[in-house]
Amino acid sequence: MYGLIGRLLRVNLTTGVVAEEAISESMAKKYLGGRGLGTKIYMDEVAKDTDVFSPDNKIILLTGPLTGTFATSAGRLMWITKAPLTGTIGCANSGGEFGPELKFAGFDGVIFEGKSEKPVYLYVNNGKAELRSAEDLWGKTVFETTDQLVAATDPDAKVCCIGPAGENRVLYAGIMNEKNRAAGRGGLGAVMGSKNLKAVVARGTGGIKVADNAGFLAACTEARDKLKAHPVTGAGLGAYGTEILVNIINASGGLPINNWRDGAVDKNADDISGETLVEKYLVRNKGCFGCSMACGRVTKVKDGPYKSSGEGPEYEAAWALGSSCGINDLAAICKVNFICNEYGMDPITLGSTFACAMEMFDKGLLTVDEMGGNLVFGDAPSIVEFALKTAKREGFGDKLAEGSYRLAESYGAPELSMSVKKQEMPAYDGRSLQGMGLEYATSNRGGCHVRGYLTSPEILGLPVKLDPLVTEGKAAMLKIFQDLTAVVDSIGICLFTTFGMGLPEIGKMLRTCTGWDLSDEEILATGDRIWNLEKLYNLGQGFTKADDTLPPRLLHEPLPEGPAKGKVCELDVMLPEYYNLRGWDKDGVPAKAKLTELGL
Amino acid sequence: MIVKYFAYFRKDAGCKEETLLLAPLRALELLEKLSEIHGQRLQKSLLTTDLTEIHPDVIFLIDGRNIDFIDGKNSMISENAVVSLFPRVAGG
Repeated sequence: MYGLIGRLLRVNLTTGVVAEEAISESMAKKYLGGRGLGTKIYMDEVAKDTDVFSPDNKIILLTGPLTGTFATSAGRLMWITKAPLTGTIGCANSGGEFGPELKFAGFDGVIFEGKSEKPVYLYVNNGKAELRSAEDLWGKTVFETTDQLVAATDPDAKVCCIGPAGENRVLYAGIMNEKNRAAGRGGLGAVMGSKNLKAVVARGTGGIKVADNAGFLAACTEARDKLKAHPVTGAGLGAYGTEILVNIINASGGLPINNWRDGAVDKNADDISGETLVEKYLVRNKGCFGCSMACGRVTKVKDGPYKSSGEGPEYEAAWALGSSCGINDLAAICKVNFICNEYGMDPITLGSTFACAMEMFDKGLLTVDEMGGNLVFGDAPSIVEFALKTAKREGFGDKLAEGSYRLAESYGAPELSMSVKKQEMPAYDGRSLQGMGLEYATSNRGGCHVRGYLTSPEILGLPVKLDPLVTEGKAAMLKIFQDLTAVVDSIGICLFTTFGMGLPEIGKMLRTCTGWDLSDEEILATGDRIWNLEKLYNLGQGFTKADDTLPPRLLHEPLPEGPAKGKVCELDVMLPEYYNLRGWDKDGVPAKAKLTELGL
Repeated sequence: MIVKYFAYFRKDAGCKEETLLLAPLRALELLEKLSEIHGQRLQKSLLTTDLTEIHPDVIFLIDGRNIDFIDGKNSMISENAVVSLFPRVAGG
């Protein structure tokens, strides 16, 4: 096989047996790899009524055919299982270098099943794999675990692990690699924790075969040249990182403040912006494997109460811990972001859960005594304190660890959770970016921005310009974005490449790498297949049209100011059109003809 | 009229924002005026080389609305408007 190595590891954590098996090429061609193939394997092997934390559940780590190759920004890996936070299909991806290293070690991925009696880690080294004790690592942070495992194995080894949040089954615990890269959303780290699986370590010096060396080199060079020449992928992302979005989203009236309660124009937004991060705290930028964009931020708060260093924050984290909590202290936001990396937590859900608790306090549903601290809008020190309590499930942190929906619901006010399918929405208000509202409502993994990033056409004008305030054209564009994103997530490259290149470049790289005779249209149709597959999983879990919605606030409370003043999200206009374009019935169920067309 | 600059436009203009006492004018006219005030470096970022069009990589907001959805380079800017100028950036 080309691109993919063609081999998987199957690790039974109950018995300790580690076995190898081949990947079917026909199956790989049909689902590509990563997100698509991983979801297919998961659905084939795990009964739909399996509890997320049961030993019968499985968690799959899978790379794509381009991962680790010369293709641009091809450092991605995907984790797939049921998501503890949502109960939907859970798939979260990460960059860095772990994915390529796993392939260099001779495997495309690992299927973990069962549950270990005691903490273990998997060490994969040049074609061999073994489970080792991780008892001395349990309770340790991501950074401590990574350092200890590199010392115990190989100086060039790459480590993927959970921190205390995953061990404690925080419902939005992430899986971290190279300390600061995160498969962050949905709580997949808690599934690792439930299996007593602390880490996966990879070291390899092998290579990856491609079908057409000269053609692949030419296709990759063409793609890289295109990214270099583009203002966003060639200069902007490297210079300012993702945080550059703070000011433009805010100026466009789309940056939700105070738990989305008080509008979407933050007068203090510049304090937490990418420009300010560069000015005050940036040490250098950093790239993942084979990436010329290098949007990563290595940052340091040199002094003061939040003195610390690490990586990030990204835009979504800065907003969730900042504007959404009424906080404009970027040093405090950096500090909490570093804690999220060290303890292995998703800062989007963490910040949004804080914001929800803060509004509950304003409404008298929570008291300072009950919370054991001053978790109120604008209080920067409190988010540091409660981030640690949440990771450890200490005191009120135990409730915060359940996410905003379960927290608010337990006090009879689920409408205060700014979530979709129990996962918190990121930093774009669906009232001022209508297409993003539709994107959140239909995302197969709950409130999420990277399943069909319509911010790109609505605000950034990429690849076309769509008026953010209107509904026309959003359903059609979203379907294309969702399908293409499913492809990108499955082949192992970074979604950010799509700011500067598109399906033609992706198609050339994929064909020359794998040798698969797939036209661009067939590749996009594969994305459609993957999207429908995920939808089928969610339907099997009991999700219905009623779940393809938004918090009441976005549907019924007009924005009070800004360019979208008076607007709510017109989901009722867009959703039927979206279902129709997808070939689904009025209840959002794929029609039989559609499934036949997709070979599902 | 308040003009706000973002990302590397701040270096080009030498400031984050400025208040200008201007009569209502069109979007392209404002960029011509800003180029006169701040010089060639900003002009190169904001206008095409023949100076007849707004540079395609400029995101130009008037009170938060992108001029692409108003009247393009002919969009009118009132005396009290807030103009935000961004280079084409992205994130997520």
